[in-house]
Amino acid sequence: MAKSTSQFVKLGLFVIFGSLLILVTAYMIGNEQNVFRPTFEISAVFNNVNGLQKGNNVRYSGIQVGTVRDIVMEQDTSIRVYMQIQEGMITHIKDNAVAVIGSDGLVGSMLVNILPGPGIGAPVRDGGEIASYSSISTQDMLSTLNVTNKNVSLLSADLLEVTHALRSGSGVLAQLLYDSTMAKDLRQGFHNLNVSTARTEEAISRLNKMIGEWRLEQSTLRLLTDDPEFTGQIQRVAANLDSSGQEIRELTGRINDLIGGVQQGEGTLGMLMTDSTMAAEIRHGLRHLDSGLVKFDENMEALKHNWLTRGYFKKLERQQEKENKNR
Amino acid sequence: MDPNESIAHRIKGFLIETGQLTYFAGRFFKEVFRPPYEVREFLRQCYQMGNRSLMLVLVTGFIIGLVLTLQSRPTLIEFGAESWMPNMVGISIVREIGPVITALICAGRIASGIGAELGSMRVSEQIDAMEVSGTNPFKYLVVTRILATTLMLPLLVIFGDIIALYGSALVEYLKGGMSFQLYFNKVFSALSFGDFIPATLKSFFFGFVIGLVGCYKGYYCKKGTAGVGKAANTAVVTSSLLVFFVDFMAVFISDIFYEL
Repeated sequence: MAKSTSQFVKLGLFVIFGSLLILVTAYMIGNEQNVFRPTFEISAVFNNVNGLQKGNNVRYSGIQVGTVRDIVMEQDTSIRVYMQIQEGMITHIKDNAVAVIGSDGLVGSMLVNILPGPGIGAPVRDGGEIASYSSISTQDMLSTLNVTNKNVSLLSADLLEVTHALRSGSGVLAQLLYDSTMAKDLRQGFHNLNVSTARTEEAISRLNKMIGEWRLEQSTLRLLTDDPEFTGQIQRVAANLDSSGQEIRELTGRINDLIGGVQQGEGTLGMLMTDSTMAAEIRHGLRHLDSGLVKFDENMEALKHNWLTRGYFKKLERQQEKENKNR
Repeated sequence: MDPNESIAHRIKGFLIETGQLTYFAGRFFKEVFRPPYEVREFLRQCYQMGNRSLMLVLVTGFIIGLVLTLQSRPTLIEFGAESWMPNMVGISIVREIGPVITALICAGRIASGIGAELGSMRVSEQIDAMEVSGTNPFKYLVVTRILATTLMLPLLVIFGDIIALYGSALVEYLKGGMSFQLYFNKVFSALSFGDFIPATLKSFFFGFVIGLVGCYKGYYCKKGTAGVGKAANTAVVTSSLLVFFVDFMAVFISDIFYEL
């Protein structure tokens, strides 16, 4: 009995542990496929899904966030891919995100990679649709490579032809490469060119020198030094300048004396400048003179309209006009 | 004997065997739901077939995991796909290698044991004595054993799978420097319910086939000591063959229900 009880305990442990292992394995597999997590669904429309299948992974910027739930052919050129995404990602995936179909490594299974869109967008809603972008497929790359291969083939054929022509010695390039006489001629030509350049340089320097000399001959200094008449004129001007200087010096002395007298109040001008009473009287007199002149103007204007003197003024105007016409 | 007559005799013998086995299975399903239930004997058989086979399954599973990884590594490294080892080994073991290897081990150990045990009971007329004494020997001996193998094999398979994956992870850790966490993350991300559920379901059928064939061969053992040996031997051979046949059927059906 004791033995059978022990057997039952061991059997119980075996069964419980085995069942737990089955459950844990199922949970781990389900967890990877978001079976036991709350999820939301988004979709994207592609022209070509490149072998994507239900259950393939969905990544957001490289992080595993969900799986492909379904792939439905909507029209002849558009396929809608429904993706089940972990609910926690709903705040991170924006409605301007872009879905791209790629592969997990070079030989890996296909997957959908959701990339953040440019700018700021609102969080995607459950059942919403995001934009898609069809990346370059292997087939496209191979077709481009095919065109490139054809071009390379044509280029290599042309190159082969050119090489053959070069080796056979036809054409200018081949002569350049293989004709020793031409090489000598060319070398001689270059040598001659070198010599000519040196001589030209020498000639140009001489020419420059000559031009310099010619300019010197034409210059004012040359005239000053070589023309005796001009030199005499210069000497006379200098003598005149000397005498003028003496006269100016005397004149300056006199003016200084005059200014000194004025400053001391000698003479009429000195009194004008220094005597304040006189200045006030002059200002008063000028004011009277100003008003007198205004009145004189008025009298003159009245005289112009007087019948006795009007004729005289008209005569003056006519004479003025005549003079203007003559000018 | 005429060769044609010999072939016809063999075909006839095969058909009789198949018919008797089917009848035996039908009788099991008839008896399994009918009381009285031999619970104590059933639990004893569970212990004998589950616990007693566990160590053998664990050791075999561990070695299978090690060997599979060691053999596959050079080829995968040659292709630069070393990082795909957990995916490949995980799917191979869970889908196919784990259940089949465990079933074959159990066919060798359990089917032969049941065949020999029931055969010797038949030879020593213990079964006849049980019938005479009013005990239903089929219910007591056959139903409990078939039920025990059917229920214990899936548990042995999951133990075998996990230990085989540990064996594989150990090789990857020692040779490739891959951590256990990364290894099992990759394994579980590669696996889907389409891999796990058919494998678990078919291991029930493997257990049923092993118990059924072992019991049948032992229950209808020929008289004499040679009969017991033959019963044990044919139980192993037939149950192993049937395991492969059931495996083929399971893969065929799971292909229809789950997209590979």
